[in-house]
Amino acid sequence: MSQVSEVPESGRSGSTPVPPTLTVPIQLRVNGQIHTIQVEPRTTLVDALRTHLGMTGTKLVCGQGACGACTVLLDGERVTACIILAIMCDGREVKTIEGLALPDGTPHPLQAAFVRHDALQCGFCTPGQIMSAVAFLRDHPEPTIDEIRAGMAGNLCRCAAYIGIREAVADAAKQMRASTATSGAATLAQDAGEMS
Amino acid sequence: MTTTIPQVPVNPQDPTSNPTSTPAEQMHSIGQPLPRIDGLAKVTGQAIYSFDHALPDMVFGTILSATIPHGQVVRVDHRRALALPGVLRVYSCENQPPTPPRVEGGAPYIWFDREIRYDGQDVAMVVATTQAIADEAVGLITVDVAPAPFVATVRAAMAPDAPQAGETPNVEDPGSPYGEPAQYTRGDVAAGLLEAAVTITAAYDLPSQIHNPWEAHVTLATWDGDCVTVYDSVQYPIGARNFIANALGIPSEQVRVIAEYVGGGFGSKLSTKTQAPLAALAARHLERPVRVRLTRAQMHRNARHRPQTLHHLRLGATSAGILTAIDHEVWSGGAPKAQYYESAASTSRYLYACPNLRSAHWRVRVNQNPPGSMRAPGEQQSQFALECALDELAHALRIDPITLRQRNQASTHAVSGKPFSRNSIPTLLDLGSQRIGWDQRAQPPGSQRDGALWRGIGCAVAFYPLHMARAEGRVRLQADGSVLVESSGVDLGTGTYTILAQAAADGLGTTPADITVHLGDTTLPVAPIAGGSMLAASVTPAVYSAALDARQQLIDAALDLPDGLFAGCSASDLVIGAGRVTHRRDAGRAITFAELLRLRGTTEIVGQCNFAADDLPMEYGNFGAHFAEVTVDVETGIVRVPRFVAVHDSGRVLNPTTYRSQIRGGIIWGLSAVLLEASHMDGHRGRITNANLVEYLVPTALDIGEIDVTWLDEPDAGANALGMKSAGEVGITGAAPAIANAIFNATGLRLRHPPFQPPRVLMALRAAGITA
Ligand code: FES
Ligand code: FES
Repeated sequence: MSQVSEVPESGRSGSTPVPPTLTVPIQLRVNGQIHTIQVEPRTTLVDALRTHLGMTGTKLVCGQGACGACTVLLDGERVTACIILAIMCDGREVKTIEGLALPDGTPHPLQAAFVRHDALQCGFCTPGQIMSAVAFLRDHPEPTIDEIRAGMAGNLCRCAAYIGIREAVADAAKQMRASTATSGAATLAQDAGEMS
Repeated sequence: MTTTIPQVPVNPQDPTSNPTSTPAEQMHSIGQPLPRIDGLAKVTGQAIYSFDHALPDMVFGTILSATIPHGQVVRVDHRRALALPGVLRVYSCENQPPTPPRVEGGAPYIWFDREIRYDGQDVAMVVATTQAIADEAVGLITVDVAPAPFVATVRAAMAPDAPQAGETPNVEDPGSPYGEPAQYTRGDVAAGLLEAAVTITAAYDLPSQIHNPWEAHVTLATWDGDCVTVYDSVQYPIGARNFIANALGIPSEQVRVIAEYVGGGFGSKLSTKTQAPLAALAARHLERPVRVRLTRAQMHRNARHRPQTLHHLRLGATSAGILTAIDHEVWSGGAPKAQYYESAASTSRYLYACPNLRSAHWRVRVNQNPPGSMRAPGEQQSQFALECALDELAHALRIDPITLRQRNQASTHAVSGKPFSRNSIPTLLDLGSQRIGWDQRAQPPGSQRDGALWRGIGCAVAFYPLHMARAEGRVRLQADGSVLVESSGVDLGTGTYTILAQAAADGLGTTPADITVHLGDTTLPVAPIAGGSMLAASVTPAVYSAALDARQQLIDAALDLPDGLFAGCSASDLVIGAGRVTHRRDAGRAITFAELLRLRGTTEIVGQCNFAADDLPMEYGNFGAHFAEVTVDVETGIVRVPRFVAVHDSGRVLNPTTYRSQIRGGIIWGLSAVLLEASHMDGHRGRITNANLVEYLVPTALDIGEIDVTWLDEPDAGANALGMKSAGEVGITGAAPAIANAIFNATGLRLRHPPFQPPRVLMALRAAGITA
């Protein structure tokens, strides 16, 4: 925590006088972009994302770290953002569902697979499922269905789209391996070209 | 995934020549596994739910809940809360606005009642500049109460000396608040039981459960002059609009409710919760947008629940397995001042043929928040008790449980007296028994052991009646080439957006890619509740017919063009798509909607249909046969369901992808109901002890094995213009009893008090002397 000061909470209120609140400035790198915000020490990461930055793709369901709906990547590792304080993330890198597609809008292979396999119904758990799967697949690029069941067990789905979810994760793993193989081959070819 | 279809037994009076039914050759999109069209918005985080809506200057409300189950609020002191910086206003019974007379009659709305009838009831609300401040401030409110005697569990409330939960006796005949009488008899049950070669008696105790949609009950309200716009997470926007208008004492035209995306409902969002009118009230006073959400604990303590039901069943049958008597009596949890009772002996009345029958419901008022509809309310518990009891009867008779069900098939709905359009139960049971390998089940029960893992297979019938209600379909062809489908109904994740696009595309003769669907807004055409599985079966035929109407108008206009572009053509020569009308064989002869509308002197063509949901001459049911394979670990008491088979009949299936998801979801809800879910009421304090998602168990990915879903894709022609039925609730009704019956097959033990969490199973096993 760098400094603590008595400052009015930034620009959230028009007609009513703004109360002085103990807030702390923090810097979050969200999806590659740096944001400096004033937060109360009790502000959770999910609140900072949703309320302070207006990024509502990350959902809040249980608020107890029990359901995984608020899963984001913090320095690449999945965390439940409802039980992490924003001040603990000062200077760190956060990846959310909004930052997953390519800049041209092409969905991430997991996003596409979730649609293809109907791995969602109401969709409220879905951003958390997908962010969780991103980290899971990085660590388990060739998962079995049982590994997926265990590796995704922290993300609950009340609509119970579980079968679609595990099929989507398995399929996305395949797609991602194939594209890594292609780009790997391309890199090799390029290297070979440079050498010759 | 669909099975080859053996001929379904069709009732001879089936109006297969129904002029409104649609020939299959016109269906290009309907029946296709189109990925859900709202999928991309949901997987990218772009879908904006009511919980996500934010407006400049928005402030936040938190509700304070009562912590006694019965008594009077003597005094509420707001001062400490008001002193907290950031708190804008506090509401309670001390300063609530005078209740306006209800615009549409009925009891006046009370914001904060001084009489507390249950733990969790609203006592006050704080509005503050941040949610955190509002949450903190409710803890600073001081409430003086005068507690009264209470009773919080169904069994305690049935005791003769129990305190009275409300103004009337705890145990009452609920009468017929929903049309069907709570008490029903036909024939002579005593004589039927006497005549039986075998009788069984069984009591089942099913727990209270909480819907827990993932998106909380949340409302954002903002005023513009006399009118309020409300972003609300609801299953019935029109109902929410009327509720809010009544509370505020304003005409419903001044309230607009929007619910574009809804994060689940399962029945809890059929009724409007108090946060909605409170948000509107505070937004009017503060002249700025107000968001109020229920906490997860409040979702358990004050957002309705499936009440506990106690069942007593007696069945009698001849030695050949013909039912001679069914006696099904139920006591269900109720609440003071609430009408609701659980019709949990309903399907027993008509699902099987039986001449002597009694089905009786009693409501038992307790000091708990009012119960309400939760996915297949009544049918879920009725099917559990009936299908488990039939399994017990089959065992007593030494008859195959499938045979017993097939021998008692009902061709007529005994209560309404109307014939079923078809009763596919016998066929579905045959198909399912092949898929699961029914002959592989443990015979005798308890005989298939693999170390501590004992294996069994059980079956049950799934059933949910077809409900439909009035709906308007509207399809608008715009000059810019777009096609808009509009309905005030919502998509809870059921697939409404997608199937409406498919239906409109086929009605118009175009593709779903050309269609934009707008849902969840009270300014759009009338739609029924997204509940009772009735939204799809009502709105989809209406939209389909509206699209046919729009197509007809468009074609008439094209054939009638003054420049004679399509002179000499007939309607069948014209194709509609990509915003134009084109000659089927001569692509050069084409005109855009814009040009066509301009030549006609209009800006749009509107196709309409008013779907009336007439009283039909037959009964239409959603049927399923469910088969569960379970393992019971006799060392730990853990029950697992590695394999599940479901075969269904829902008439025409509009979209196999979303249909399968609905059925699977229902099955997992059934699994959850029987193995995991229970809301625990502490009878000594009158408070729910597991009002959170840590202690209230729902399934995880690890609880889900293989689930094989197939169906008969046969339109049920007389039901509506598409021959479709429904999918939302039938899936839950068979899964729980199929699993309970499989546990019997695995162990030889009847467990009658779910959820079958490991400690309960282990105790039953040990009591029966079973150890690893
Ligand atoms: S909302 Fe964070 S884990 Fe449930
Ligand atoms: S899709 Fe609704 S909770 Fe998972």
